[in-house]
Amino acid sequence: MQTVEARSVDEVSSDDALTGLLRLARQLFQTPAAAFWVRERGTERLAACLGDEQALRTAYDADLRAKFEDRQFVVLPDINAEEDPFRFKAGIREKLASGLASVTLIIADTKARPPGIIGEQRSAFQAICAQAVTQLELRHSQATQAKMMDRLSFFDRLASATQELEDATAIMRTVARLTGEFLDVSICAYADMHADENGFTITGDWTAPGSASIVGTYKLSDFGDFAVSNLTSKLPLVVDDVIAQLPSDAAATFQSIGIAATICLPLVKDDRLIALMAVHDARPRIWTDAELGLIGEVVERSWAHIERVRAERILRETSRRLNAILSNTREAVFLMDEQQICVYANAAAEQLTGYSFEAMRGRPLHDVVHHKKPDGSHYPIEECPIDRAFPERAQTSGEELFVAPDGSFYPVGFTASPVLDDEGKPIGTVIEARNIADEKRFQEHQVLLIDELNHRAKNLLAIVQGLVAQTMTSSDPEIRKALEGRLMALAAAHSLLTKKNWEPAPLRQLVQDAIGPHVAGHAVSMEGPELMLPSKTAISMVLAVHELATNAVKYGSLSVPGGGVDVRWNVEGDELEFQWQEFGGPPVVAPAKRGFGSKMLERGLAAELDGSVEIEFLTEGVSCKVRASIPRLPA
Amino acid sequence: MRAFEDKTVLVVEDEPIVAMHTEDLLTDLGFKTVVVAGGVDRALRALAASCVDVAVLDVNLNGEKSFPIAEHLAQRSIPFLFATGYSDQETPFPDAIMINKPFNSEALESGLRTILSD
Repeated sequence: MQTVEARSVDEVSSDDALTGLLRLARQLFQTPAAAFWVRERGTERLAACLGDEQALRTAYDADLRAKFEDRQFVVLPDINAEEDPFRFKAGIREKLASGLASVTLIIADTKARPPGIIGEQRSAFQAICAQAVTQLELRHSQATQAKMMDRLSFFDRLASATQELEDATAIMRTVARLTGEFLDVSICAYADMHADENGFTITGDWTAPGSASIVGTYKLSDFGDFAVSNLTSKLPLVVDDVIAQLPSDAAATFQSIGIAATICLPLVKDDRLIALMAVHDARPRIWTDAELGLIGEVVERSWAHIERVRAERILRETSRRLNAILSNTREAVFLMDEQQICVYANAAAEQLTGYSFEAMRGRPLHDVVHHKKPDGSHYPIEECPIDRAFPERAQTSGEELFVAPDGSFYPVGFTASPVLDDEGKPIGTVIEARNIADEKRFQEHQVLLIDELNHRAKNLLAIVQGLVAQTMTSSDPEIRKALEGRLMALAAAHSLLTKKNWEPAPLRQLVQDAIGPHVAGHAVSMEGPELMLPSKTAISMVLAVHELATNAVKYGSLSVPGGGVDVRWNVEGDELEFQWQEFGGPPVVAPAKRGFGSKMLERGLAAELDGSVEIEFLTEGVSCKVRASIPRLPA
Repeated sequence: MRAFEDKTVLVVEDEPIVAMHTEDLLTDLGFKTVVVAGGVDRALRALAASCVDVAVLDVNLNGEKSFPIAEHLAQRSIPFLFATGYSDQETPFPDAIMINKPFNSEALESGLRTILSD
């Protein structure tokens, strides 16, 4: 009895409540020994005992345990077994409400008790065990609550420690430290997977005192097939004891970096394994579901946080860039929503329109700056080409007149581009515009200037013509006529070019104009592709054809009825091949001396055209071949 | 040249040399009288003073347009044609014949024949 009492002191100190219940049972049933066994997570432990602990441990043998599998109430009133320290044993087992744990109350006596436990004794026995269950349930719920509080406060600490951080490395460093400390592990590390999804680099870790950092580059395959297959299938890798659970080579890899137990979680994005986070222990450790759940949540939250700060940073950078562009461009930029309501206008837009963005915001831009026509009448938005870009889903450009705040008009050049969503549905319009008043003035001025210059050139030719006529009154009328003809041809070419603003002119038209005055009643054929000649080449060609035509009229095929000219040209690459062939005229006699016409053609024109001119006085008719390189014109 | 022989023609041209040359061409074409005026006022005065049958008008007279003269001629049903150094010259007289400067005797004659036969 003494020893029992003495032992019971330890038990009481270890579990007050349960020992108190045992004392009650012992008094009630007058037994020297009583004990509670608690079964949790597959193991059963002696939770409290009064009397001979060793005897009780011996008495609660496999036989007795097995009996509780079938029924909850066991009474052995008279045991006759050498090895059993007791002759009487009785017990009752109750399950906790969760069903995951049970409590077994045992009382024992060295003397046999034939009547066993009967009547009211039975319900008192049951009540004592039920009390123990209640007690344990209370403790469980308290423990669960404490764990939850712990967990909550951990996540709270994690959130407040990381919320201000915007750098992925800083976030992971803090997460690793707090998680490692909270779970009381040796190492908490994070790694980036390489593109091959095998190599990975541990970029940072937290280590408990006594553990070495494992930062470095590794191969996932070195950690064994189990690790590879779990992580690549997006499953966590959970190992309580690498030596016991993994093949020796895989275990050796873990051991080489001081790891005996691990939880490693994968981050998979777009079906690719991109990162890992892990907690490791230097000693084997039975990981609980709570720990696995916790690290899972930590990883999920941290990666979400990193994604968010990354997205925010990109967004900030993008918006800073866009702002820089939009605020500094001199082009006015407006953004309309799907109702054609102004939702954005840059500084240049404010400057262009004379309205602040606040004044334009929330209204259709059309109503603010484009609501009336120059005649003062209302300009319906349905007719507006700027707003047509939205319904027609096509970029439109043009010139329009905008209305200034004072009611005056100013010309703008605009481009309206529909903004489409991912499905190609228009959700708004971007409008760029600029004031083109200066441009217009400049253009008009330029047109006036060119016009005036052309006019003066023509007048000058008219004056030269007059001077020639006045000066040469007594000269040979033939010479006067030749000079006048040349002046007129020059004027005609000039005229054609000014009409087209000195743009390239069509060869066919040039030839026609040059020979037109001379060929009435004669057969003239022209054959060749459409060809535009640059102005300089055009003038040279006209003067050449004029010379040929006047010569033909005077001496050649155009001097007799029935004579004609065959004009044909071709283009090969950059070279124009032009041929003038007279026919049906009087037999040609080569002139004894080359006249101005021939010289102008063979020397002047050839140099001018950067080519060659070849005149042949064939008996059947004059022939002239011109080869000229023509600069390629933009189509 | 018979068509011009008994006619008086008014030439309005601010450039003396061109005016002289035009005068010579018209004389050669057989006009009885050629009246030359260098500006709008002088042209209108000439019109009041003499009996003009047909007119050749330079469009731009030292920055001034010859349209008031044309107006005056149109009211009195006197045929006229414009001579201009501008390409694409627009006038308030869309049906008026326009010859390009510099012009030769043939162009002048053909223009005048056309307006006189109308």
